Amino acid sequence: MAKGEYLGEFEQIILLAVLRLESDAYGMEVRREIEARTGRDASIGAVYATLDRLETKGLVRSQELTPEGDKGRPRRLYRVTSAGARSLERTQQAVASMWEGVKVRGI
Amino acid sequence: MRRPPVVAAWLVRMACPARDLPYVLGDLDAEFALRGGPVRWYWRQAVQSAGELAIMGMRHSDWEYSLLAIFLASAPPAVLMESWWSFVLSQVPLKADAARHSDFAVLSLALTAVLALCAGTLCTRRGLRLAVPAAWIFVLLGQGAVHNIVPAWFCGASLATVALALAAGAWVRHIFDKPSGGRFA
Repeated sequence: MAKGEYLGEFEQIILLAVLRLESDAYGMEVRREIEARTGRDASIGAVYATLDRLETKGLVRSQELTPEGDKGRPRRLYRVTSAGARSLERTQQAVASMWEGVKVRGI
Repeated sequence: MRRPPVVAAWLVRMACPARDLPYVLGDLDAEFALRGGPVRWYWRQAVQSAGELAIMGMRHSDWEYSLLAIFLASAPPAVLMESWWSFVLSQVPLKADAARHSDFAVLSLALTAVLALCAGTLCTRRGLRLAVPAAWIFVLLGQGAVHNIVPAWFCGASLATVALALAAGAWVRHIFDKPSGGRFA
C-alpha cells in the first residue's frame, strides 16, 4: 500500500471483525459480529463482496473448509494478513491524528 | 421450521458467482434457521445482497464480463444513435432521407466513449484482450449496418474511441481496486 492510502469505513469494520473472531471468521460470523457491535444490519452480500475486494488487495486471505460429515456445510475462513494489519494501523493513526484537538460538542 | 423463501433464494443464486454460492447460501440459510425463520429478514438480505454479489461476480468472470463489455461498447451506441436520429428526422417534412451531419458523428462517438468507459471498468485485464478486438469488429459491423456509406474517418475514430475508452476504463478499475486515499466514510 502506498503512503497516504487508507481503508474505507466498512473495510475497517470488516477487518476488525475478522481480527476479533480469530479462528471463527466466516462470512456469517463476520456479519453477526458487525451487527452485534455496531447495530449495522449489513447484508451478507456486502460482507462477502468486501472480503473479496480485501483479498484482491492482499489484506485478507481465505481458506476453504470442507464440511464435516453429511450435516456440515462448506465454509470459507478468513484471516487478516500482515499487510492488512499494517493498513488498519495506518488508517487508525491517520484518523486519530485528524481527531487531535477537534471538539465536536457545542457545534 | 420455516423454509427460506424460494424466490429470494433464487435471486441470490442468480446474482452470486458460482465460486461463492455455497458459502453465501449456506450462511444465509444457517442464520435464517438461527433466527427462527424470519422471511422478511431473508428477503431483505437477498435484495440487499443481489447487487453486491452481481458486481463481485462480474469482477471475477472473464468471458461473461467481456461479452457485456463488447455489447456496451460497440453496437448499442450506433444503433441507438441511428434510431434516435431517424425518429427526429422522420418528424421533419422532406428530411426523412437527409444525410447525417457532423453533430451526429460527435454524439455517436461521445456515447460510444461513455459506454466503452463503463465497459472497461467492468472488464478484467484478461477479458480486455478479448473485448477490444471484438468491440472493434462490432463497431465496424454496427456502423456499416446503420450507414449507407461508411466514412473511413468515422470508422477509424470509432475504433480509436472504443479502444481508448476501454483502456481508460480498465485503468479506472485498476485505481478502484486499491484503497482510496483519505476516504474514511
